[in-house]
Amino acid sequence: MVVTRRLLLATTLALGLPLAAPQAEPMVESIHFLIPGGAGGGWDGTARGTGQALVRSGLLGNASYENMSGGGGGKAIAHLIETADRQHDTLMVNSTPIIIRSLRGNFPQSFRDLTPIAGTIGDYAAMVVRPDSPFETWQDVVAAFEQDPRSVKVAGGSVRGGMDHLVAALAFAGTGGDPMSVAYVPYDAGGDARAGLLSGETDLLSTGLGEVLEQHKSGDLRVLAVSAEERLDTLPDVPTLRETGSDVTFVNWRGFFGAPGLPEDLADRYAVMLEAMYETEAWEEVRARNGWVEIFTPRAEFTDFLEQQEAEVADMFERLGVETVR
Amino acid sequence: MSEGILIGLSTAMQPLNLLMVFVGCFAGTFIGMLPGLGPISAIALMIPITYGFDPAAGMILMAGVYYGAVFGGSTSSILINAPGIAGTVATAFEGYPLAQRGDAGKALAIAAYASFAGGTIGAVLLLAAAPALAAVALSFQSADYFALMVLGLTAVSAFAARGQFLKAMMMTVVGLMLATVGQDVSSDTYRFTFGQVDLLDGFSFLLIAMATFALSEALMVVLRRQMVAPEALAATKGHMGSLALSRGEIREMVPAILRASPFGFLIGVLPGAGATIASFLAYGMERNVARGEAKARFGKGSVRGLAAPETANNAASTGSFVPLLTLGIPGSGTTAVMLGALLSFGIQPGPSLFQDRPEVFWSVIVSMYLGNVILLILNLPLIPYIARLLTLPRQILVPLILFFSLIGVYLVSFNPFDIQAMVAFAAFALVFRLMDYPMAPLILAFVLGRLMEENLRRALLINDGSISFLWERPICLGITIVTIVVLAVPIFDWWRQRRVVTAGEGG
Amino acid sequence: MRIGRDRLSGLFFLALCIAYGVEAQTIQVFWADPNDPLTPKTFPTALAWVGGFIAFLLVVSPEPPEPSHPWPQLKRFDWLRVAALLGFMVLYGSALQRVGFLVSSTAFLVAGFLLLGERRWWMIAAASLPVVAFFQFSLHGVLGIYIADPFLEWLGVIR
Repeated sequence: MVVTRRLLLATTLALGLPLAAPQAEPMVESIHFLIPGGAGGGWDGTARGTGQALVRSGLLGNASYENMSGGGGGKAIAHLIETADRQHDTLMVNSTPIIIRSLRGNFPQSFRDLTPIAGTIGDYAAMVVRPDSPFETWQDVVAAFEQDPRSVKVAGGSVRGGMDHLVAALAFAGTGGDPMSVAYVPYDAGGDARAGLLSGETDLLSTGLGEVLEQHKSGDLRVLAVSAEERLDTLPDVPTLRETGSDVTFVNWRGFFGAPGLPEDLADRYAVMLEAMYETEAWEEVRARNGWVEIFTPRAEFTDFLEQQEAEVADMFERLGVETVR
Repeated sequence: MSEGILIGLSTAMQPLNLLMVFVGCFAGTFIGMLPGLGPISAIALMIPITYGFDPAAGMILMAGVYYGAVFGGSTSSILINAPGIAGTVATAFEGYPLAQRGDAGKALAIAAYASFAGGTIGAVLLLAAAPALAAVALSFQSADYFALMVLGLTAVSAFAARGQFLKAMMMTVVGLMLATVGQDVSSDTYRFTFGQVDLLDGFSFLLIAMATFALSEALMVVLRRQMVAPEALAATKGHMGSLALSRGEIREMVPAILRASPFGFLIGVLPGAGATIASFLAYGMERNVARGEAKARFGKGSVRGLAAPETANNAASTGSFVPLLTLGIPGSGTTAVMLGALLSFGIQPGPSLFQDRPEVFWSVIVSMYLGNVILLILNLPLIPYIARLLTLPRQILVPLILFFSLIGVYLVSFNPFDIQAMVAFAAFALVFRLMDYPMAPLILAFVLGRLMEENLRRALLINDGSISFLWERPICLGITIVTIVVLAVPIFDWWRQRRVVTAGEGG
Repeated sequence: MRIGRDRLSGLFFLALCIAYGVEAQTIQVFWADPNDPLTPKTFPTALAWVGGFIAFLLVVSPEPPEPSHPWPQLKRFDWLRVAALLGFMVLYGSALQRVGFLVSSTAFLVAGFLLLGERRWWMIAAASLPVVAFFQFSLHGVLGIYIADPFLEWLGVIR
């Protein structure tokens, strides 16, 4: 019975007793996951899902989770930097918005102030319409946009200048449109934006593919294009933005960071542990039920990737006439 | 369809699943009573525990936890004026005065009956019309939400005691002002943050509600050198926990429940509204339709004033499953976590769920209903004991209330700044309550203000800057007309009374 | 003109609205949609005007002759204890993460009990540490919600 085992675990932990190791020696003793948002959000799910898979597969001895919301993630980053010397077993989960928000100056730090461990999962952006929409292809949308930009109202679940807006602007700019004139309508969250699209008040939805994949398959929504490099195995009939003439690729990654000044050998060991996780059954179960796409990019590779994405986003902000910090 | 219901029933009635409902309700009530933990955290916490369960059993456990947590939240609202979750703030308006009067047991019983009735009627409506209601959920656009929020704001007039209209309005404005602190979604601009990281996300609703209600109330008791609920202690030690309702009270409660259930359910169906707004609107509506003596009892422990929001928040919680199950759209924080739970069982809600896996669809609905029943059975016998909490001496009770209120907010954000902010708001509320300023309008305006501004700006953006939607969209026009009527009636009353008074003074 | 509670509070809110309105003018509108008729400034500015108007009405409207809690009663109020409680809460907030949940919460409760006149040591003991410990254990141990507590970390009880 799961509940009692959990209780037992809790009791032993609280009493500070050593736990009998369930399997052979774990690769890492313990990890403290720092989650920059509240319970139930995307970051929360990623950290807890990853931690669960690691512990279950015996790669990790035990995991604890700390939620610290505030300032769009800035609070947790500041905390990690301030207390860096006693955070050697801490991994903070983060994702693409860290790049966007630090470029916009929403918080003063950036990924450079942390120790990138690895990007673990990703999600492509999708351009979505209602099933009964007059737009059959992405080119139709572009044509309508070129005729009158105001006739294509784009819904998204992030603030103006946030990820969903940025991707839509990138996509239109890719075919030579003016990104400034994209009529972006911001909603509180992806779900609300989807309701907005379905209610007929907007014409196009810019969102994460994971949020609409099932609805596309069941015919309740239509994905016109995705921001992947190549056509996806899961969606062989949906073209990439690139194919449609808009040279844009974009992936919303999620990954883990350590405190600044984390010793190299520790950081490497964490990355190796995460890599080993992909082979385990426990991970496959977590991954499948969340529909996550694996994009493992460890250490230096991850830093390069972040730098490249930062340059792309900064370029887009410049074309949108937005001040950036760097 | 009846076949589906039967499948659902037979699944939910299996002994193991019944045990799950029981365990879920118990755990949910416990978690809900802990400060700061509402249905969102309760469900999020259950996700890893249900790992490996069969989907039906897992969902049944979740449903129990969900209703248990909502019920647990109303308990602290009634007993110590500390709304554990946003949906039970309106419960405190009449529930707390009732408890202070010495009728804590009765108030808790009314809340339990009203929740049960709201959940039951909601479940019936869901069974009868879930797929059809999906269309309603989708027919609402930003413009209509804007009109709805404005209608909600008119409930403020309900809180204005005679001659205190200006004060209620002033508090409304302050609430709206507080709502503007933080990031502006439409433009990525920060407003009124004074460069403070702690202000970037604005104030949380729970923070404002706990500070202005629970903290200020506990401090008020100290300030006035009162015993806690003196009447309660002196006269009614015997019937403190009594659940018995008089015939008159039942006659008062039933119509309120019948009005609030379908109303709350419909508000819950809208993805952009939800249980909190439903409970406020139901309370305001009940106060507006009350006449004469019944109206005078509002604010002093009105039975119908307690039954209406408590019914509406449960009916709305049930209603919010309509967009979730039929469209896969989470309409609130809680349903967003529920969606996560469903996904973790490999269930993708949406129109196809109803067609492809009717047994899951119906067993979720049936088990939600069972959760309601078990909760009533589980909690009614406990009420007398819970109500005894109030008989603790005040020098023990007051610090405990302060502690639980502060921690309740801290546990959501883990930010000590929130505690300092609560102290400031509590001091503000204390001073202005002494000057007869009502705090309910501030809370109401704070909830509705942000949604109102966002939806208006979205509507204008979509309509290229024209406000023609106010009369061109039938839903919008309908709500606007109701708003005008609701506003006109009390102004007319006031004007008539004033004329009488002036005439009297002149003569 | 008598300055009663209503006028006094009206003046306070008038000042608040003016300050709010002035601060609203400093909101940066650096990147609005060119077709957005409302800027982030619009709503706050309108609020400041409306609020200012209501506050003005409060100031000029006649003071009600008999308030429900008359002023003299204020003198009998226990301002001292309330101020002390507010102070305790502020201290508690600052100590929470530095000292830790267990110790600061217990100290806060004990201080509150003593301040409000509880002298039975067994009552103070029963209603403070066990309550806090049970609560922390339910959250941290059973439910897995992490609560930072440097003191317990130092003791080695938690991570």
